[in-house]
Amino acid sequence: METLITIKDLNVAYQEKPALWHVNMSIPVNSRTAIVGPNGAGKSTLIKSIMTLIKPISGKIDIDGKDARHALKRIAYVPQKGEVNWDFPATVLDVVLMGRYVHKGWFKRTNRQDADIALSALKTMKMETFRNRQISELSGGQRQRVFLARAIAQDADIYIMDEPLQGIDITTEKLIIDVMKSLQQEGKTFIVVHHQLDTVEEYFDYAVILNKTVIAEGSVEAIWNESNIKQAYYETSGAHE
Amino acid sequence: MMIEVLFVLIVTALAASLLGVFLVLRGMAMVTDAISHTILLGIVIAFFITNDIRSPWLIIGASLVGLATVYIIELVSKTELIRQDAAIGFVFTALFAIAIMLVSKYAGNVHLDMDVVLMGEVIFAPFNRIDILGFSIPNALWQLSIILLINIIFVTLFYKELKVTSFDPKFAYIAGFSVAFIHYALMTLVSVTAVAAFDAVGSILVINFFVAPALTAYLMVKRLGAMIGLTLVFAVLNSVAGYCISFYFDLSVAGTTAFVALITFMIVFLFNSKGFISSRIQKMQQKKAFSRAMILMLMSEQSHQSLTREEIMSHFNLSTRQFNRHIDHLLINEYMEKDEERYMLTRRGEEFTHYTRLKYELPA
Amino acid sequence: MSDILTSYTFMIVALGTVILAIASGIIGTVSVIKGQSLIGDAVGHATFPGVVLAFMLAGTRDALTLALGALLLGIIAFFIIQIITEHSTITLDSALALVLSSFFGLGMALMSFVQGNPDFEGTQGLSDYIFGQAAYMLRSDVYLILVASGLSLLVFTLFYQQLKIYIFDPVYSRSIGISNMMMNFMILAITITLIAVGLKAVGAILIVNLLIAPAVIGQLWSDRFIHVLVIAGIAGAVSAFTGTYISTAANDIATGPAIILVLSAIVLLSLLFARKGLLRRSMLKRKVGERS
Repeated sequence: METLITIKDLNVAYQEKPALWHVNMSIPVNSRTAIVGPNGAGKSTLIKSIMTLIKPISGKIDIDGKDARHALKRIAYVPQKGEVNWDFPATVLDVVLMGRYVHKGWFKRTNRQDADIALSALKTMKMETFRNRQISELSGGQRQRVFLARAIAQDADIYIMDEPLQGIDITTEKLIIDVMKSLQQEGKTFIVVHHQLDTVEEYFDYAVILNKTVIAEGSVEAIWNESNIKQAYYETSGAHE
Repeated sequence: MMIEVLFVLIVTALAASLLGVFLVLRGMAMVTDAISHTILLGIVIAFFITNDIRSPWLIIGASLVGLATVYIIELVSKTELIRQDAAIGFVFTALFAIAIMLVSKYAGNVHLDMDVVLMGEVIFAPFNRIDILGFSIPNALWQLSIILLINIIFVTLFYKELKVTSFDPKFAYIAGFSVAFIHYALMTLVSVTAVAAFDAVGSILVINFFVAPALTAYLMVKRLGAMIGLTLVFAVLNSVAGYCISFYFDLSVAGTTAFVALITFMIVFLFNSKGFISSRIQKMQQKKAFSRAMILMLMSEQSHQSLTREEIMSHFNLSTRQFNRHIDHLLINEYMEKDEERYMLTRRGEEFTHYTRLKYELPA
Repeated sequence: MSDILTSYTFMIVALGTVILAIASGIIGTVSVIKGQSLIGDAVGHATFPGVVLAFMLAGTRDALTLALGALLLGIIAFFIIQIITEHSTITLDSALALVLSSFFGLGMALMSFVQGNPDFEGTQGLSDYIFGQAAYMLRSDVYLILVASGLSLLVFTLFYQQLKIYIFDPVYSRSIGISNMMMNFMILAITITLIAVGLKAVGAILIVNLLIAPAVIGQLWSDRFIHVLVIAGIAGAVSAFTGTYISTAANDIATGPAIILVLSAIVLLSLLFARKGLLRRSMLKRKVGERS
């Protein structure tokens, strides 16, 4: 498999505590990659490092052989629920249109064509009838669909999602996975922080098991086994919560 | 007579800051600020009715408006249409605007001086005197002493309730404490105290006497009893310092005391043992120790057991100066040794990395 | 009535207050949505010592000089609030109360120093900055408001899309390369500038109402950011015009409070009758999705 993202010797610390230690891994192009690990394993830190939102102590992250900083426009990020200001008066369509801003220069506005792209993204997520609804009036699952629609409208080729299936309904979960699989057919790559161990094999084809450092990495068939999971979840050298 | 000014100031500070401890802990500082502005409306209305600036109705009217302010803010933010901070901001300014309008429209005819009401001037306090048991004392001192006493009794009597409801109102409610009673009783006393403090320090600075000493104490101690004690100490300290400085330079007493309170706070904030500067230094030291641990940890791995200077520097993006400082420290303490141009862990360094892995909960 | 409308003083004052209210309404919406409404209150109070200091140092009551002093102290107050909340467990609520009252105290101390000192002349006008004296606004005051409001709105329009993403979803905005620090600084700079130039019109204490109330009205009537901004601007303009008219017509009513009262009346009516208001809500009994 061709490699899209290469991470070499990544060390990240928050104040004096290491969050990621000596991470070496790669993510293959056109994969559905799950990042799995216990609480505090550094999953969110890892994806934020890929998006260069966090400055590491050492290490190198390349996307297609170039420094990740130069590839930000290729990344579409789907946030965790808590990161968003729900008091913001925005309709569903407004939020999806934000995905188009990436393609606009500093002072250019979105136009008709952008609106069409946004609408078709909403259609993909089966949310087109909600387009004029206030974002805070939606359920958790509907919100998640809107954020994925924004990512689709952004027309990126790398999707990074932070626990997108957390606290959503089963219909939305199925839809997100279907959309993910069909976008994969179009050549997109997915990097997803995932918290359900029982669905990894069904939803993903590549996995990184993380607990501050990489425990195992590879295709799901090859590495998704009890010994690796146990090692990540139960065997750290120190005390564990 | 001048010393009486100081007494008024100290008693005001004590009465306000005692309640301030709980206001700070309950996150009600800005609500209190809102009250201290809106009570002006109560004073103005009561004054128009009674036409007597000394009438006790002024205190009652003002306290009612103060309570009404709290109630309106709660009502508005409970609709969930408007955030609480926005509600505070527009409710108090609206009521305050009415008060100013009334004062500016009628102040010409009556003795309700805008500047004194709003800015207060403790320096005038000794001019209004009252005879108590044959002693002539300033009216303000008499009033505020009574209020201080009431506040002390309230806090002593309801200490447990105040503590529980401030710390965890949901728990307090379930445990059967009357959260609403404590809340409104506290807010009533806050209003009354603010009205009485009006004369001395004016409506805008009252909030400073409520919260500044409590916040300064809060930086130093985390136990309620100790916090109350320290708060009262700072209240006296600020008053004395503010009084002396203002007399020396001939400045507004209340204004100077309020600003001195910020200086006191900032000094504690910066130099306290858990303060800004010492925690900065501590963080820097932790960072240094962490960087050294990282170098050792890297070298404990199979593929990196012997490294050159350039390899270490480029791996951690170190400058020559940083590198030299770290490596000197590690060599002197015999965590690593140098063999020609390559660095390697000593046995001691090896043990250190094991310990570090345990400490940081890293997989072996 | 037409006498008032065409009078020179009225036109000058109305122009100043209306433009100021439009700009404050629009810019204030950002702080209200970000949950930082009361920072404007603290900064407003903190500008007072700035005005007095500027007067002491420059020895003039020139509008621009005093506004610069106000701006400087406003910024200092903001940074002290930032440092306190970031580096201690003290909440924003408490830090605001502490800083606003202490800075106002400094203003009063400086003021008493200036008043008691024969070296300084013409100190009467300084207390206008506490409560505002729109009726005494000079042409230069109005020009200052026009320029500052114009610039603020220009910057806001230019960075509109970035600001919008930043306010709604700061992590996403960083992920697409928007500098959050720059956005935050920009909002702050614009807000403090408007406060500094608006002091003469409405005063240090009431100015925060111009920043909050229009946004509240906008939020009650619409779910769309752009509409909220437009409604906030209009509400500000209408109140400023009406308030100025009332205070000019009824001689002894101060302009600042009059504007605030008109604005408050609109808030009250909106709270009851707006699209998202209480009456509508109880009529429809529609359950608004949970707010988190």
